[in-house]
Amino acid sequence: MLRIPRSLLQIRPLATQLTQSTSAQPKPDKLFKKIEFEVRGHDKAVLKSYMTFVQSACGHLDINYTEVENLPYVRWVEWLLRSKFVHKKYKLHYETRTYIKKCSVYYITGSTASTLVEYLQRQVPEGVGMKVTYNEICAFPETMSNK
Amino acid sequence: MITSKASILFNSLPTNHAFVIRCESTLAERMKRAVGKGSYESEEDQRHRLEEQIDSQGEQFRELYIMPKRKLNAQIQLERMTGRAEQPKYSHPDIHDRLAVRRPRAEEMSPNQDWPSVWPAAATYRSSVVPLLIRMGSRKYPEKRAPFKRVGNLDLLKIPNFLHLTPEHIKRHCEAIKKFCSPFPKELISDPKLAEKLFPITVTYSDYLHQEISLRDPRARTNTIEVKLHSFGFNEHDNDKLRHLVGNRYNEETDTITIVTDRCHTHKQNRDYADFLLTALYYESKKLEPWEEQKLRDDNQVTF
Repeated sequence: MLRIPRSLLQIRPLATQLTQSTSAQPKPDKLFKKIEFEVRGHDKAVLKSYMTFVQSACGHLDINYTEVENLPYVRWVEWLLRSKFVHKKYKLHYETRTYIKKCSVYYITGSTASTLVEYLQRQVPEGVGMKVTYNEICAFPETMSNK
Repeated sequence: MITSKASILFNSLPTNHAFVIRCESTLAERMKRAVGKGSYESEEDQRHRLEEQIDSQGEQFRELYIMPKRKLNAQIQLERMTGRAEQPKYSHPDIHDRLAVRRPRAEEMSPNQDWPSVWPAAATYRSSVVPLLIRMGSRKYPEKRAPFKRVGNLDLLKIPNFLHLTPEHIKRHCEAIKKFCSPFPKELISDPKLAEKLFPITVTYSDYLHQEISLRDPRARTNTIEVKLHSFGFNEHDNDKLRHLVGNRYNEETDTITIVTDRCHTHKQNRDYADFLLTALYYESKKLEPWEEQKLRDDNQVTF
């Protein structure tokens, strides 16, 4: 092992750290009144399992959450003729159902929200889409500060 | 005469040995026969046949050939069809490869094992690793025939599994990410008036997560701002003027102004635009224009 004398080993701070410490001040955390998660998928069982995971995760992180709300499914229907030619009376009926589930989380800060949302979004299973709606509470913009 | 002698011969042999000799011959005996050393009958029997079975003229007994001393093809086929065929024991050339394949992992797992280390991340179902006794499949009469077993089951592979999100997993994950969370100020929860005074604006926006071709979703750029009118701290004139400017975005029952911005391309731009609108409204309603004195009673927005 190569031994370097201590005098040569200078501990220099990173350039970015220098600029950050002098100019930028830490921004105050955002505050969220409510964050709502809506999941959509074709499989009811998968959505149900995912919502139990969401509620369990919120419970472990000490976050207030509501019950899971089931919305009516969105149906896509198409009929196709069963035969190649003629026979309009006989058709094949195809249907797709998109099940929807909702869950909300109340009174969280920006850092908690970003960790929770990232964790939940990473574990979303295949074939499931998610919509996250944020209700953020904030003060008047700085341009209005000189009241 | 000859037949009785043949039967005596057969009966003298121990337990029909002659019948089964060819079917149960080992490789060594077969090879000996091929070389010329071994025979279908033992040494003792051969000696007895050639030397002791001599008639009065000193001639050996010449056995009458009726049928070969083996199972004919027809009999073998019949036995195979009825399921009574004797399976020949072949030694496997891949015997070492067969010995090298172990039993599936799931058979050696104990119920107290650490499952998060076995299944750390999301993965497709592997029947050799998951020790759960599950069945999955569609059957016409499930009470008569059970659904298909877990080994080689395509349905179990297709469905997304949550084996990487068991309660133990979630607990460990949350322990790891807990340090990045911060508590919400309790004073704001207990006193809603304080929250309204300090943070009067509510901004609403959405994020979309889906598996489309493009990462972006055009719905994500909408931004909604809600403010209560009394939080501005206006007098009567300013109130009235603001209501004129804002128009039907004001809801009298809830005393809320709602501004929806989506004319810009990105969400950040829309948010900045909404902030700009709010600022503009604030300062405009504070101004007193000279032509405002010409206001008539009908122009009043506020009903008295």
